[in-house]
Amino acid sequence: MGAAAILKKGGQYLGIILLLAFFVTPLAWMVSTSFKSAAEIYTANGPFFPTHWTLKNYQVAFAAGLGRMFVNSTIVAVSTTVVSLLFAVLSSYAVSRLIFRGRRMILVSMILSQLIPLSVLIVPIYQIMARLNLLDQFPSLVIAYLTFSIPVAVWFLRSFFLSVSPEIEEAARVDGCSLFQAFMRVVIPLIVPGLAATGIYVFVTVWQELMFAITFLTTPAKYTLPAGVILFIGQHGTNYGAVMAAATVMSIPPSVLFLLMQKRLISGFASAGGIK
Amino acid sequence: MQQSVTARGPIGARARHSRSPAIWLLLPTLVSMVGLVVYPLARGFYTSLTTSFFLSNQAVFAGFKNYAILLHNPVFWMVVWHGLVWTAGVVLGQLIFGFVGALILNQPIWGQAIFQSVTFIPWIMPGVAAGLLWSLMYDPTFGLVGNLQHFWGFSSIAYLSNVHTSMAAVVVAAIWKGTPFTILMMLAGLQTVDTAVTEAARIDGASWFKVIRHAVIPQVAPVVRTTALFITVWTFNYFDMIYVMTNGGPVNSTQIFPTYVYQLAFGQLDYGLGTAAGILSLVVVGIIAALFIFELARQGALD
Repeated sequence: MGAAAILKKGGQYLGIILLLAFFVTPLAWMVSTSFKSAAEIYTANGPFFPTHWTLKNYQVAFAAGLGRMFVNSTIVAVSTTVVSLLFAVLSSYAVSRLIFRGRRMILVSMILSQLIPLSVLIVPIYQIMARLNLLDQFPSLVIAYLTFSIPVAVWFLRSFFLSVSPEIEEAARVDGCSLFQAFMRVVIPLIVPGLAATGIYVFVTVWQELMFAITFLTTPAKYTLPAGVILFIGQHGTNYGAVMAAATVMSIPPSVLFLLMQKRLISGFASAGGIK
Repeated sequence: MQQSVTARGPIGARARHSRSPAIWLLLPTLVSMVGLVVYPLARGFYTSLTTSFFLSNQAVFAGFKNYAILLHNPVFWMVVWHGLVWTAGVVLGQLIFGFVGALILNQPIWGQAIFQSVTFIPWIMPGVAAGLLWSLMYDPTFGLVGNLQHFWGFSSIAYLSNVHTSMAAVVVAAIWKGTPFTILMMLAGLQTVDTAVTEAARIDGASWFKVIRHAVIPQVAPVVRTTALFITVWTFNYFDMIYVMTNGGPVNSTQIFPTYVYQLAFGQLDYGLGTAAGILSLVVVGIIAALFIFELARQGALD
């Protein structure tokens, strides 16, 4: 290797180190703080890593209901994901495969609906839920979340439907399958990875939703993680240790799911964004 | 919109038969969208024309009174300005940082996959967690930012409670949270770059910077444009981090549309004023939306 090549490699590693330092340092600090004792947290210029690791912060956070919030968030996020996938797989197939009047308009309105700020929709949806007596109940959140989860799922799934060759489906039709049979037996199995990626994306967005959750839920036992952590654990003033423990716990499921589906999620985004 | 009826490609042959299944397949989605977007939007617009009294269900039609109140309120114009500063700052930061990050990560290098995954966590983690983390980061006595400043011999200040620094502080935190997405999109874009073109430029003696400027950037420009539109809308409408870190304060110095609307509607319980502010923010989003549709149509993503 010549001097120039070594310099180039060195520069590249330097770039990566700076990049990682910026993105990873705060994360590492969040996790390390969650294992520190109060004495170490509340020291000016304290150490980056705890000198004595302790689970005390996690005990405090779970005693304040973190476990219950985790279960609530799971219930809401899984329900929303199932309903949105069910609706979106049908409509996404229609806008990707079938040709009909108004198809383009539906695609455009799906994007447009994504641009409407949720802060505009929250008051009317709140009033509707109040009238339906659904406030402070999980279905109110699941229904409200469909406003953004369905359109996103339709766009995501579309890229996966478009990647399935129509000839395969045509062949099944020629072999005597009905449109429905061809869809269920031929198309669906081929887009299972796409369904998983889309489902994970919906799950992750719902998992972190804050505005509707703090507005609709009033019973502490029903709080989802974002609402509960803000209204309950955060309210214990500046118990930074417990707050960082809660922040760490709520970040684990999305991070793990992302690592599992990284490649497919990226391709979903890339094609939803027009990259071929 | 009419041209969508035109048969195209191998599925065109089936077009005549597929009209009726389409409507049934679309029905659940269309019903939800009408019930959850179209109807609430119309209802919200009506609410913005009413005045309601505290703790009473009586809403009285008031015409454009709420809009007049807002347009005469200096805080509203402050929110408009902050919304633009916040959005421009975060989007520019993410684009510049994202492009540099993608260039670095695009080289074949040991551990590339792990670096890409780890870098992505800030984007995938909940905004609440990121907001809490950065609130502690900025703590003048116990925060990491202050610690680092002390280490280099500077004194630290309470960035989030100072009107002069609060906006910059939340912008930096949001850039940290959002840039990984930009990096990934740009990486996807860089992978489509025709290496023959960049190689040819290099052989012709172009410098690294010139290759990037004249051979790479033009090729990734469409990706950059769609990514920019995506993150512009997300940032303009982003509620979580500012709500957690400053709740729009101190003295409205970080107040943007989502937190302002929320504060009017659910803090002051003035639904009329809150929805009116929300509808006005739609005007800004509408301009972005037009660009969005135009860009997607140009790239053929709607065909």
